[in-house]
Amino acid sequence: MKTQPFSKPLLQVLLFTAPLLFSSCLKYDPYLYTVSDIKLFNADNSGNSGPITDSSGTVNARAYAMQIQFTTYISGREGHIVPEESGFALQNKTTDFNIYSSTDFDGSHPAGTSLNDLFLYAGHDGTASAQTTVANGLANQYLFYAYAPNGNDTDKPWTTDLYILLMKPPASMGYRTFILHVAFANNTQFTDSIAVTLR
Amino acid sequence: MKKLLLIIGLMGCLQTLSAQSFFHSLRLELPEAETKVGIPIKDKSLLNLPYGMNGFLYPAQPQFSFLWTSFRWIALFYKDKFGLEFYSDGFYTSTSPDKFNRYLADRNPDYYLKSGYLISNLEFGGQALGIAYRLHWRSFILEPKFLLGFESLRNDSTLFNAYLKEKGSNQFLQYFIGRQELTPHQHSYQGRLLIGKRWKPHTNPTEYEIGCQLEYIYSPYTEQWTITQRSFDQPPVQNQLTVRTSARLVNIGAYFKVYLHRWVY
Repeated sequence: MKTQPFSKPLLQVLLFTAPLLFSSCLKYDPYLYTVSDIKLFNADNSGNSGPITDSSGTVNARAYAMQIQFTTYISGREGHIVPEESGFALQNKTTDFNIYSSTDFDGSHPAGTSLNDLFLYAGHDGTASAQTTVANGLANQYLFYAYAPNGNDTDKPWTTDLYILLMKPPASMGYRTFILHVAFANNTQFTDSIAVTLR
Repeated sequence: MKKLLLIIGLMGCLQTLSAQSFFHSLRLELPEAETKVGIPIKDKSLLNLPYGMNGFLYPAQPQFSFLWTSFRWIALFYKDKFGLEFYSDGFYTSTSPDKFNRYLADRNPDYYLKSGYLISNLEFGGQALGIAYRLHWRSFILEPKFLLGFESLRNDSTLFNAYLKEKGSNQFLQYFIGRQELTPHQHSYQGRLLIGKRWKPHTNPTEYEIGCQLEYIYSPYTEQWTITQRSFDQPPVQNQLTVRTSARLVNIGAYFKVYLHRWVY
């Protein structure tokens, strides 16, 4: 009697499961997006629910958060794009990200020097870790992380917020203006400022 | 010479008879289905640990085990009394971070506990070798047994990460707890007691047995915990704790056996 390497039922099971096994290993490429606008807002991180946009213009310095609202649009669709599976990647990397104060912040941060070391990147949900500073976020290209637009409608621009937290209060409280300068690898630059009274 | 050959021949026959008798008294028992609930018991060594660690690993929830997590592969019984058994044992339950989270919240009243999650499962599994003695009284069976387990208690990639945010401030505290097992070859010692009833339908040589069992598992090991506290712009504060402790479980369960036929050599 001639022996067969696979019995018929086993072969059928293999034929049925093989596409499932291979499909789980497929790799999807992300949408490539570009930042087209940046706006600053004051936010208050006193509570337990993450930074809340402040409209009064006066915020407790110990809980001050800068809300950076950035507008994005899809600028590239390369590789294997599947709308339900593909993530989002910044097409032009961030080359410069600096926060300044129009007036002296403290003894080691006179007006016009970078305040990046005093801010912490807080992500979308208000949580942070000692490692995820602004510099780290910049180096790893997750400072401007785009979330899916509403309804996955990638053909239209959408806005996303990020929050950076002030971890050391200034030497003197009162009115000041923070300035943010951002540049990307395609030579686009954005500058916005926000006035706040820190108490 | 003839006498000598006759004696040798007689001895050989006796030996063969005794070997046949011995092997005829053996029975190979097939996999046994059992289901049980495992109740983890906190070891005394974990009751008074510093840094809130006494509330860290336990409480673990009682957990049901079914055939695929814990069962007897095969057993060989002599005269239906003395047995040698091979087990594949398993116990798996999730540990809860609630008690340790409460410790953190009580210790830091000026902070919100934003997240405290624990990736930890108390996992106990491996192979075990058992010896058993089966007592018969009418159709009832009483079977004490001892098992030596080549098993390990694994805290499946135990990782605790808690984030506390200061009230009215951006400052935070972050706790990491990591575990390292220091016992390279962990064993377990298990005592079991089975009480069952066996019956055989008149028309069929197959025997059936149903019963309940009580089991106690003890498995000593040494582990090291590293508790790290981080805050913004400060060097991390680290504490290490080495604990000689043990996994203890009480299993209460039921089993069902089918004796297909007498195995003959």
